[in-house]
Amino acid sequence: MLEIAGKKLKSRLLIGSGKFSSYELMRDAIISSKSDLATVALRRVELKGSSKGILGYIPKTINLLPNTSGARNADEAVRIARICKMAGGTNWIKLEVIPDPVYLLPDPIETLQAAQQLVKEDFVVLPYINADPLLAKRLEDAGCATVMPLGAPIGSNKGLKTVEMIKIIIDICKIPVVVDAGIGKPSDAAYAMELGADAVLVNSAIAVADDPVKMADAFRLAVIAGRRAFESGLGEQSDKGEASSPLTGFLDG
Amino acid sequence: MKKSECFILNEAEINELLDRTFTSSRAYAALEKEQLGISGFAALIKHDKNDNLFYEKLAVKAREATRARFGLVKGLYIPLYLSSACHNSCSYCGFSIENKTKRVTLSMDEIKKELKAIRAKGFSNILLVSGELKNFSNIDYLAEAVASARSAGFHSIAVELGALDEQPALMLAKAGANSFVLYQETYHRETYEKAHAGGLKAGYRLRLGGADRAIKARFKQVTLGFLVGLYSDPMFEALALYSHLSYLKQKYWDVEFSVSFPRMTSAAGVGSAFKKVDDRQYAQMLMAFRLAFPENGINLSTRETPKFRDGMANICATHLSVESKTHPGGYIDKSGEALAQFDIHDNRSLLEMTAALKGIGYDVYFKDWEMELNRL
Repeated sequence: MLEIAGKKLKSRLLIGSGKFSSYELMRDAIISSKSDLATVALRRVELKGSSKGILGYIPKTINLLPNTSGARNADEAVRIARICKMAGGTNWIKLEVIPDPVYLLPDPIETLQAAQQLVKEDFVVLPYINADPLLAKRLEDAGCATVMPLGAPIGSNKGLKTVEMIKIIIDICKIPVVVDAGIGKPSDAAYAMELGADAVLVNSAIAVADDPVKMADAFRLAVIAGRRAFESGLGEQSDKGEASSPLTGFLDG
Repeated sequence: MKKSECFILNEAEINELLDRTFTSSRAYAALEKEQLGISGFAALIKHDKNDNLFYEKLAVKAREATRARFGLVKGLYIPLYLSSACHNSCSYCGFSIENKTKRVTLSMDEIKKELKAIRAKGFSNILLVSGELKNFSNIDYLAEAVASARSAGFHSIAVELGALDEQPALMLAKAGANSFVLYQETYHRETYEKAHAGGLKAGYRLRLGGADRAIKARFKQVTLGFLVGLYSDPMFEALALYSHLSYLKQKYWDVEFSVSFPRMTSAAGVGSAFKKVDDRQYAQMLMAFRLAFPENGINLSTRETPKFRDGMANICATHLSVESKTHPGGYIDKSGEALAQFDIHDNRSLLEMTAALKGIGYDVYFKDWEMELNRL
């Protein structure tokens, strides 16, 4: 079972709550995904006033993972995280530091700085990063709970374009690896899971589908299938030597 | 900052693109391109608007790009006009100094009341607009208005107060404003100079450098635009805006841009001597901007009709103003409607607007920012 910072999660599919055409549909899609963990952007949450807003529609059984969306540097991310903690009562934070408004790529330097500060303040930090293996290790050393490398830019639905780097991250990281961003199809999610990713986070591909509830179910199944394939030992496509290679068999004959 | 550090329009390049003939296959090919380039963009806006196959394909592509980037949500915003006192003589504007009617400048107390009323409607984003006064000597007043919006609980404060110098712009940013709106009005120099014979806006180049200065003053969200119809060739304007945006994006990679280019409507006391641009041509320009800049917000104001706004929201518009009053105040005291900056064509209430967008499959949001992100 997936475990992040000591918390056991039944599902390896994490879901984002943005971009849906209504809160009702978002709620139904979250339920259908059977996810245990949903991300929410503080910048979209109205903390004051009487209206229920988005938080009123996320099922109570789901763990909330607030994110620092909007932050463009470490300072802003830390401030947003603190507001989330005060408002939501959770010390979990998905760290997003994105100064690039075009491709929405995360800033590695500011992300590491923010992560170090937030860990010091006892946050459980889940940083969104480019698929950079050494950055992933540095964040692991800093005490992050996971790393969340992107498969492709946010919202691009391009699939696992960074696959070679994601393989290395999975290989060298001890903390869970959650592939985040770029996953456009259930087959992309299954692929990430087959590679040994611990989980995937999906938002746009579910939210913008014609039938988000059904698509959430499709992703649920794909994640289960991919994980099961990984656990049952896929035929290796290894870069290393193959034991069954017939090339050198003649030497033993 | 020096003028040379600001954007300069290469009119020759624009004119060359306007003169160039683009084949039909070039326009169709541009529909499939990930990086359009200015010539691809020109091919899109210049293609025959009555080629239905092309037109519908353009719409489908624009819709896909909008949905992928922005999801199924539309931002709603509301302007608060602070003052109709203005030293400019823009020939098309109801606030023109030539227009001899009574001016209204809201007192800070009135501003606070208006802000409270707007906040109570549920808005978390506000756009503050004002006529331009001599030497921007009213900058303290404007900064205080921004600070009031902050105290009133707004999370995103946009200012549309003219092509400020860097220092006054920085004052507004420090007071809590995060978003800067500046219309060039027209990129066509000769037309610009004719329409802005006097006042603060008389300098074309000064206006053109306004976005550069705002960015230097640490604004990270900037909306650019022009008035469709002020100059007779809207394609010139669209290409110039493309050029301006490309320049700024390369120079300031960490700034988020939106575009807004409303079609002109008449205003009290001024003529209607502007070029009418029909729906098909206008929509073609909006859609082409979406393909050229998939990440940019596209605003549509209440100058457009409900039918047009809803239709374009379903294709490429991402932000819509609603319940706009285009005279100072107006959300509490509804008596001052005599001098409006321009006429509006979409009078729907917030509830009606929300229901209409829901009806075509979109949620609306009123908040997409956090005041903590504005701290300088």
